[in-house]
Amino acid sequence: MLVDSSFLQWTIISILIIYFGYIFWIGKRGKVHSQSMVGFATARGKVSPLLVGASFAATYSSANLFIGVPGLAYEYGTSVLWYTLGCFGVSWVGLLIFAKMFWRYGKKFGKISTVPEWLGRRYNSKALQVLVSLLILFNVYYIVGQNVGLATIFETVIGIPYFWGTIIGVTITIVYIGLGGAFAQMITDGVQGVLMAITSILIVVSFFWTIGGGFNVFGELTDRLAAIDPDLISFIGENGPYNSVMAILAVQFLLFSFILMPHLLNKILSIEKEEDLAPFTLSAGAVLFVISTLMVLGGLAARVLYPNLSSPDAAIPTYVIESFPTIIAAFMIVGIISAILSSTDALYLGVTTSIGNDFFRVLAPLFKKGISPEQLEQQAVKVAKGALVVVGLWSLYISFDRPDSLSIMIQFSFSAILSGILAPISLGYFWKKATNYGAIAAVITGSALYVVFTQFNVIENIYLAMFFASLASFAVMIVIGLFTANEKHSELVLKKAN
Amino acid sequence: MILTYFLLIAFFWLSGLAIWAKFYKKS
Repeated sequence: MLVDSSFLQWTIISILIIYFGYIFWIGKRGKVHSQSMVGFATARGKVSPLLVGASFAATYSSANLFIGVPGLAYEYGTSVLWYTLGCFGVSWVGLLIFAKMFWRYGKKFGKISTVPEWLGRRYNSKALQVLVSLLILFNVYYIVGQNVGLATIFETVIGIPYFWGTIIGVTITIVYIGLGGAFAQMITDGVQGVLMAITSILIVVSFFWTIGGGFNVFGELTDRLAAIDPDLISFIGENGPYNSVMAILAVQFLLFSFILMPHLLNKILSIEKEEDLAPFTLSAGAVLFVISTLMVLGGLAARVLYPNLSSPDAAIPTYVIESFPTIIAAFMIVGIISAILSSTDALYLGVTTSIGNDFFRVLAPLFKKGISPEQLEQQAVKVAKGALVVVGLWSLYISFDRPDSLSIMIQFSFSAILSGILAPISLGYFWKKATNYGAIAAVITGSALYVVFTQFNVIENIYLAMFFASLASFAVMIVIGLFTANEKHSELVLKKAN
Repeated sequence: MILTYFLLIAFFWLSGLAIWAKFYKKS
């Protein structure tokens, strides 16, 4: 034990206070931008594209990659590496393929700030926009995963009971978002990307003194894992979700489509000029590589060094406080907390913006005849800010019931969203006969089937469930598209495309 | 498996950069 725990606690608390002060300062500078709905959501054009790229990567990497997936690696061994490989490789390739098209379409529609709005414009359908904004509420479970991650850190590092840890976690998250807004989010997420990268690199560097073996450090790690259980070093794990070639391919399919998550696509919409996409995509790839592929190895090392943890999700916090001097451990713990906050703020912003922008602003004029556009805009921002607290309390309530695996719960939430929106977004680019009826049916089919498959154990593997639900969603959309696309529709699409 | 992991990461770096150079890099 290298760490004196009361000194560690106070070091972490003081670093956090300085860090929050810095965010408050940035937030004050950005306040002028967040008075309108578009400014609240994207802070468009005010931030360097290199920083937006780092911010994209920091938002991508949440409690799932910093706590949850290392926890899976602790439990199941090297077959989990297929997941993090996809997080860098397949997701980056996906970003490179989709970024330009999504951005061009977004520009064509004028100022849009959210994915439901994008879909609403592409398919000329308010109903679709409202439907997808409701689907994004699945992100509440994603937020729950972040709360659980924070509570696990507080429990492992400071000894705060889990129940109080979740309350503290939600409180600091809400305060953090209240201090900033989107402008602060872009700047601070970029800074957090750097902090997270340093934390990730330190984890791997520390293997030289915790695992040993000099340059053969990974050979040493492999040997010691195999000594515990040979299944821990297999390519395809007998236990755990990575237990067949099909499942591993389905993981890659999931991670390829993951960049279509609304809170990530919003980042692309904040790029101002087309030539800015080049530095943005390159910086996103470089930062994503460092912060998504290294942390998981810490979970493997923790299995060798601390084989008797009560919760696999505690692998990384335990490894950090046992392997580093107090001051460095405190900085790394703050690095992990910032990894969680940088995703949570984007998730909250995505959910609340959708409620304000795509739900309230679309539906309110139906009930309040004669409301002026200015009034509507002001009320939408108010609703979005109120939704922030409601979503926080809702996620807190769900967090009290601790999940077995943080990672599996987070993956459930985003798979449910992706199963629904994958077909409408991708067919929306490539296919002239993609109609609004097809898109609405595809959203309902994909998400509902995913929930049915996983909740009733129709398909036990969560990755295969997502793959087959998406497949059904594509099939429904194509069949309905063929039946409902008529001459008038094709003309409309052509008119929009030119 | 860990060595394969690093090799595959390198492979994705190269293929990602190839796509980037083709579609994004200023000519």
